[in-house]
Amino acid sequence: MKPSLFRLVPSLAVAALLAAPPAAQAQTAKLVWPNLDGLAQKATDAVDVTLDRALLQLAAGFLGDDEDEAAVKALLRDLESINVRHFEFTSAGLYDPAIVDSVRAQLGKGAWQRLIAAKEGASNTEVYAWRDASGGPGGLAVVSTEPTELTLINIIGKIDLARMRQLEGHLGIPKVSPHDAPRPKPE
Amino acid sequence: MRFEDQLRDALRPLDPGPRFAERVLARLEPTAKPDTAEPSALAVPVLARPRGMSRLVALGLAASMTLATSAGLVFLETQRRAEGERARQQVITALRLTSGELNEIGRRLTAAAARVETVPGDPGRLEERVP
Repeated sequence: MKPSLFRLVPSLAVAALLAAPPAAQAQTAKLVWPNLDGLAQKATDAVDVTLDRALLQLAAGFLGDDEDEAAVKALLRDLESINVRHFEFTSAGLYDPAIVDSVRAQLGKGAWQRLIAAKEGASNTEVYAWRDASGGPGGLAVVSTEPTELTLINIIGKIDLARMRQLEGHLGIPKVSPHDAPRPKPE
Repeated sequence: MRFEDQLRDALRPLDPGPRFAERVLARLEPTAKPDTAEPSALAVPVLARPRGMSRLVALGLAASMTLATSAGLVFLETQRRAEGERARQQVITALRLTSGELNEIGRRLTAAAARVETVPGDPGRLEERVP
């Protein structure tokens, strides 16, 4: 029996959707963390922050009006979500490098662009930015690995790095000036 | 009989008989006395004190209900405050970690830049200084 064109249309539409390029399917800066439940048990220190827009708004309502907290409030205004996972271990090799590979694979797709990568010994930190449709900042991701530490950060929204820098030295956020960097020894 | 005759016969006026109006009024009478009827359950006001309950008991019940409602509202507000405070702490933790990572990468880049110096006598040439 010859299938009619009308019967074929839904099947063709589904096939077209499935065949769409991954970038077109995943037009979001939201990263999906791999299963990290087991890591928290191995870690000596674990941080799990998951804040959606509603919780960010709620948090903003509980921030004060002094200079420091007003700066945080201003930063939160344009954010959609914050997801942070951070683990510290007593010894090296307690987390699976495949976890990092899984996150890096997601950062290789869509509108993610690697801004900076810095490697120092066994420590590696990469910063990625998501460009929205207008080319503006739409998100930030940080992947930082050390033998005994793992940090994954995914912030969605218009993040203002200049405002973020203003927070240095306030609210317990460390301030590191370029002059704090180790200087080369004189010859 | 012709159809016209049948129709005329069917529609001809009938005499209702004597005391027709009285009989009609007599039938209407039972529903015409709403005041004497027992009030239905739906007609009882919601806040009316049930029969047999003393005024003191009614006041006690009302006070308990007000107290329970207030306690519920206070609980919800406390919960909302706790959630807000937790969210605030989480925001600060997340920003502290993010800022820390950005600072760390800045420190590494600065350190890397400091290790690279121009070669004396050849400003265009860079060389890495080993600390």
